[in-house]
Amino acid sequence: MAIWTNNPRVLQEKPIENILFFDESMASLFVRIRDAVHMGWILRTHPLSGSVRPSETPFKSVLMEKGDTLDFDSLALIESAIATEKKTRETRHYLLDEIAREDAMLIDLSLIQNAIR
Amino acid sequence: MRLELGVIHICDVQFGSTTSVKDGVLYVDADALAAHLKEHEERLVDVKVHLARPGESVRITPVKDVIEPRVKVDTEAQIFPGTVSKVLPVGSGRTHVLRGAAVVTTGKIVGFQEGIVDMCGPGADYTPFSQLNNVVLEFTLQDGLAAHDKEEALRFSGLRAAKFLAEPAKEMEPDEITAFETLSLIEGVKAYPDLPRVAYLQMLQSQGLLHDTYVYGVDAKQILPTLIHPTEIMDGAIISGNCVSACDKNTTYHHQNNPVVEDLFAKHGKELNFVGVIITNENVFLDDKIRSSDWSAKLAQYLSLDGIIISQEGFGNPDTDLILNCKKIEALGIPTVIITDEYAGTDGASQSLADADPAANAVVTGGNANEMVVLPKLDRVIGDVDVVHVIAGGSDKAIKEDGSLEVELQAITGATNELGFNKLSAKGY
Repeated sequence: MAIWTNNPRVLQEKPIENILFFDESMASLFVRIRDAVHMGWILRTHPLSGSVRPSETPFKSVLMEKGDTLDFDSLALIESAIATEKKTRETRHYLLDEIAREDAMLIDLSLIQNAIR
Repeated sequence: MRLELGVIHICDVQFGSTTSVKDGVLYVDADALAAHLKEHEERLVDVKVHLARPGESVRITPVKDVIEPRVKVDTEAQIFPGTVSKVLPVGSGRTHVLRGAAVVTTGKIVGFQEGIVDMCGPGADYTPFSQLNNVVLEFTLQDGLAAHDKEEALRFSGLRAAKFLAEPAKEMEPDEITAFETLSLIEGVKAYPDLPRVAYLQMLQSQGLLHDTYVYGVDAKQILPTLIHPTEIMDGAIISGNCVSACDKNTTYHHQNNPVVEDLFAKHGKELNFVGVIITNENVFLDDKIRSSDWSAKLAQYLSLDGIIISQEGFGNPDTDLILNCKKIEALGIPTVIITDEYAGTDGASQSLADADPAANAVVTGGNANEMVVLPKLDRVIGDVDVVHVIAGGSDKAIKEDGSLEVELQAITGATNELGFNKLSAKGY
């Protein structure tokens, strides 16, 4: 089991031992996760966690488990998440100041912590 | 279980030397209210009490919660059990309601926060709370508190304020009294043998900070789907800890006045037998989604239902919970009607939900949250209008030079509510 994340707070707080941190956009992270799903990884949390839309928060954490075969449910979820991220990013653009960025990290951390608990 | 709801109509709110109700006017002793709240919540540094009436040039933002003042008249159990009252069973006896009045809470928890209530202009048409006589509480909290602590302090203080304001109503004679009763399963079958058995599955937002709901004080993400009497919900058994994506989050006021519950009661014993309410959660962990939707379906089957209405809260991953609930219950031969809202892009042309299934063939929508709306500048702001730059549905260009706001409906509290507590919908032609 591993958390795939681009959220530095998750890397710092380590809700579980195995954190795979990628310093990249949510869009890139989602594509990376989709590729991993094709390699047999299974989604254990929903990639569209929280009501803070992908265009509002740059941070996302997803709990994944290594499996052997392609899990079509996971593939459908991450493809749908990629489409949603693209749709919202193209329509709106947000400015997050430093405090709002910290809070966006905190919300994402809270969502993944609550999912694991 | 039988509850009498005694409604006292409120047509105005004023400051007064004591908190009282006279001739339809709610008088608020602001100093006593603020002192009461500070006495019970040490994390509060300051409480400003504002009044906002329908038609006034006032914008309230960011709105955290809206709560209707209610008081239990004749039971030891009190309103909002398990949160600001003892955890005793509610839903029976008599409850008095100050209809037309509300407590609105505002205060900063995190850097992005949302919820706009305009008391006049085009924005007022999108939120039901523009029609109420609002006692708006603007909180300042201790420095250095964690976001979770800030959220909790605001949540509890709002509930306490609603309880405080309703206290004078305890001894009053209501303008009207309506009784709501749910019979036991056997009694219901005997009383209405020929009516279709219909229940309501209410999905509760339960993902984490700013995305939580509480049932008798229990965090809903920790529950398994369970049965609850609809009158318990009217008495504040379910309260809101939600304040992100304001358009489709249920405030406590929505729970107290759930229109699905009210409409099912209105048809109860005539067109259908309203069997009861199942509550379930919307967790991020995928195993929780599977477990909870299986459980909801088992309960629907156990109740021998002929039909069920399912309401969603929020959007995105809860779309998955919604569709799981729908298709598992449909697979048992029980027809479903789902209530949701849409994120179909600003032009309304994109796919509305993040999940779908052919079983979801009866859908009620609360409207498209991505629709753009311009809100003209208003004379007075309660709270902080700068949050519009970063809230859901706002943007870095949201505040125009003339002071007007251009936002998506998502920013407006209750605009696309998925209980149907709004005026928006969509039609197919």
